[in-house]
Amino acid sequence: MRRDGPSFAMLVLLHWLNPLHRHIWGRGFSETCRVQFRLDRTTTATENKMATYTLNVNGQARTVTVPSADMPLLWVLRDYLGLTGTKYGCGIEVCGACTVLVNGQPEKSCDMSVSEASKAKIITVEGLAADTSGAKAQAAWVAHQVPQCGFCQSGMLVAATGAMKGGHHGAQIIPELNNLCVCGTYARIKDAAKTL
Amino acid sequence: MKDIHEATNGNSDATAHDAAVELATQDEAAPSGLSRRQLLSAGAAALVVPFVFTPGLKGAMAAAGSGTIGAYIKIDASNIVTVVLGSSEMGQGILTGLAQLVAEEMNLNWPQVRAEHAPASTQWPNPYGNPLFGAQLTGGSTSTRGWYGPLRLAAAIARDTLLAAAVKQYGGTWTLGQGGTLRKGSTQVKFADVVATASTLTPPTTAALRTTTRFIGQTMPRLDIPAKTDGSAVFGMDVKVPGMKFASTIHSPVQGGTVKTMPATSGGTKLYNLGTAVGVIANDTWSAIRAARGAAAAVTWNLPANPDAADSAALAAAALVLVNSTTATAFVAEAVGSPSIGAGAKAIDATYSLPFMAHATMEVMCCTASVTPTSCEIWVPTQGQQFIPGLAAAITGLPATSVTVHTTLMGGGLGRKFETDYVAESIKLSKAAGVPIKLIWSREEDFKNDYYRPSALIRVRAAVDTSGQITDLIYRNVSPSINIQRGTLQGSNPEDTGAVAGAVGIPYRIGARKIEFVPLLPCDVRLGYWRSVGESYNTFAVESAVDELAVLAGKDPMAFRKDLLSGDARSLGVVTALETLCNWGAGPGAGLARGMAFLSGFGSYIAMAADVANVGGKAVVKKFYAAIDCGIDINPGSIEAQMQGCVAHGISATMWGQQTFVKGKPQTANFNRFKMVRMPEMPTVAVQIVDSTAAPGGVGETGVPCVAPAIANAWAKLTGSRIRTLPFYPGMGMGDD
Repeated sequence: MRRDGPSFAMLVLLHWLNPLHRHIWGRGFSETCRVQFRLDRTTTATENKMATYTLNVNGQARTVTVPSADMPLLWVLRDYLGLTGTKYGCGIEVCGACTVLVNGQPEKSCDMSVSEASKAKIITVEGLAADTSGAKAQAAWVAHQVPQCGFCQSGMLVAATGAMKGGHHGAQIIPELNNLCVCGTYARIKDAAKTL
Repeated sequence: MKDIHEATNGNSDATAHDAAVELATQDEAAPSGLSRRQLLSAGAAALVVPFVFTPGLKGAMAAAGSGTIGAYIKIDASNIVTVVLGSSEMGQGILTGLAQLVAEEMNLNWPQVRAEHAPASTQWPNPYGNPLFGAQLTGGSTSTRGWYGPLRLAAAIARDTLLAAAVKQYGGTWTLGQGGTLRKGSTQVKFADVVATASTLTPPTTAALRTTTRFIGQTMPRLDIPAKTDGSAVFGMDVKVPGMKFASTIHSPVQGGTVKTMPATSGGTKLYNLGTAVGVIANDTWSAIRAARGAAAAVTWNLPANPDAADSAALAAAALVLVNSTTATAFVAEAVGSPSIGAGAKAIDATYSLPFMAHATMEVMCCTASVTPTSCEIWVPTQGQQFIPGLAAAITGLPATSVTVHTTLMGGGLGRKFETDYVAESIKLSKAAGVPIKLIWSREEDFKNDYYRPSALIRVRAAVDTSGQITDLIYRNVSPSINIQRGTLQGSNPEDTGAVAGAVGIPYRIGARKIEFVPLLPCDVRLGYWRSVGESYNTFAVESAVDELAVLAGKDPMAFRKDLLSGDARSLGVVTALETLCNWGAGPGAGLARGMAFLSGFGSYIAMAADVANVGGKAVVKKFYAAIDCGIDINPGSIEAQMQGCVAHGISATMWGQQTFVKGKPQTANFNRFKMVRMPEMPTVAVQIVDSTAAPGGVGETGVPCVAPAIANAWAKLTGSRIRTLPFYPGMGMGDD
């Protein structure tokens, strides 16, 4: 996955400091993280209690009451907001089936807490059509007949869209796509990405 | 008499449903699949005029040779033709391929074609059962093979029945138009205009097949792809039912365990004893998975008496004894002559080993069930509809006819979703809780509670003479038997054909051969069918051994195989096609070696080659070639996609894939310890489909078995080191790199 800004060592350090909140990278990351850290301490106190959040998902404000501030965004999207296009694959940030855009960057929603997600703009596969890059990626996926079973393709398309929004074009997108596709659609993904 | 209207102009009949006309017009003008999908959801519910064939298609079945054919074709008021199919879509493109057959016979336009999964039928003969074997199952690369003839004939009969209906309704002589139309001179009506009349007629018992190729042999865009790019496709995991609760289950940490003791609740959450699992119901999946995990420490299990029966090392040791034993009971699956390897013979004696293998479908096991006192409704990603009504009846006490099964899209099947363990759990939970239940396993439970591809230890002894002919072959497969474990071994078929598939009937010219199977008993590792079944291990042994024999005979592996296959035209055809495709004579280029393999299986013929590099002492596959003769090809684009997918799946299994067990405990629980091909490891795949007029063969599995031996043969050529044990590089995972 593409990470702008911090080095790998920094990521590890920050992860160690604050394992629940490893997703808020990007520009101004250090300030963000400091702020996040304080906020996290507040929200951690609400762990395992019903909590209400307003999420910005696909341009809409969606208010949910969930059982814990730690609940991963993946399951909030799927089970509370009905946005089942985002898939559960591994739950440990490996396969990428749960990838969503967080402030324009692809992130794995299986390990991002709802409390953290509530501070960001989230775009899921259902919102790609309203995004210029996302719509292009979707059209390319259809034109190149990419999906087989299709289960991983939500995450693939979100990752491709994120790469495009991050300034990548054509073949540059391909190294950004490290999600797992058990069907092995990689050749067609490459063909589709090259047109973007 | 109806008005004249153009095929692209909707229905001008003033009495027709206006909404349908509008939808049809939009649809036919639509350049993309998007509006077709919207149409499907918008138009189907209210406006379908079902044109259901239940009786009268005995002619179709006479051609197929068994059973009866049921309701396959629906035509709604907007002239959308929906093909209802007993085969399940798991990514192989079967809904599209079979719909193409109907479109051909009815001379439809592609935008008006839909396909949907049939309900699970409780009739026998099952109208949605694959005509090859009667049952409503998807596997063994049989869907196109089974349905090609019968479905074409059914569609042709439907077409002729519609023509007869037009004659009855309007008089005169009618001919078939395009796009779901019928013509009499300059007059044109739509199928929808006569479908009500047609449904009152007794269809003819047979009909002439069309000779056109508007759809058959054409890469039609897949019907399911648009919905798979915008999140709207409904997989098993995505089902929503009003009032539904979410559930997850945990299972014995040791293979074969059953619940011994468990508390009534855990952390304030009620626990459900499902016999082989403990279930938890919650308001969301995450809470259910967490609560189920949290309960694990409080549950005790009845465990099998012999922990070595599910221990990889103990089973491997037992297999090694059996593969070399002269006294073990061996079933002889095939014997031609009396092969013997003399002391001075030019011979190989090689033993190949393959591990237990997890399926690791992208979509974990999941199922939604709603049990009421009078009904049981199930939404499930399944390859095994045939089993489900009876299963649900046994659990609920309801008659099987009160069970409704909706087949969803599958996030991969790979043979795992034949099984019904997860279906039973969701039914039990819904029955116990009295609410609809969506059960989703955690990935960890999925990896640890699979029906694993059997391990196999295979010894090949074979000799060649001075002219490079194989004179003798003695082949022994030692592996745990799926059939014996399930108690389904047939007395008349004791050799367990599944275990020797890919080893019996191989078309090479061989002087004398004996193919043996020795079941590895006892084995408590739960066994099942994995994409390409017996061929997935036997072809590795056969095609590695053939290469070893070629080296021994001093022959080029391609020339060696061509010679030995010279008596079998289709086998020779694909090998020769591969030779041209990869430019075998020119070789793979500097730093690479090329290995090949061949398979006759699943009703098809395939030859594959791998170009392999040595990168830091490890094999890296740079390019793959596949030449396939699968008979008449329905959708070349889908065949190409399957070849690409087979290569990816095969490389994962060759390089890294396995499940291991220590005293019954599975050692791999998630993808971080189970590496599979991702973008950087995916080679390019060149595919050639050999022209053929033979009956269609299977495709979905056909490309998997040759991958491992092609890579092993390339690696042996590149390094002089022969790898006979899979995976090449055990212990690799994802997420660490």
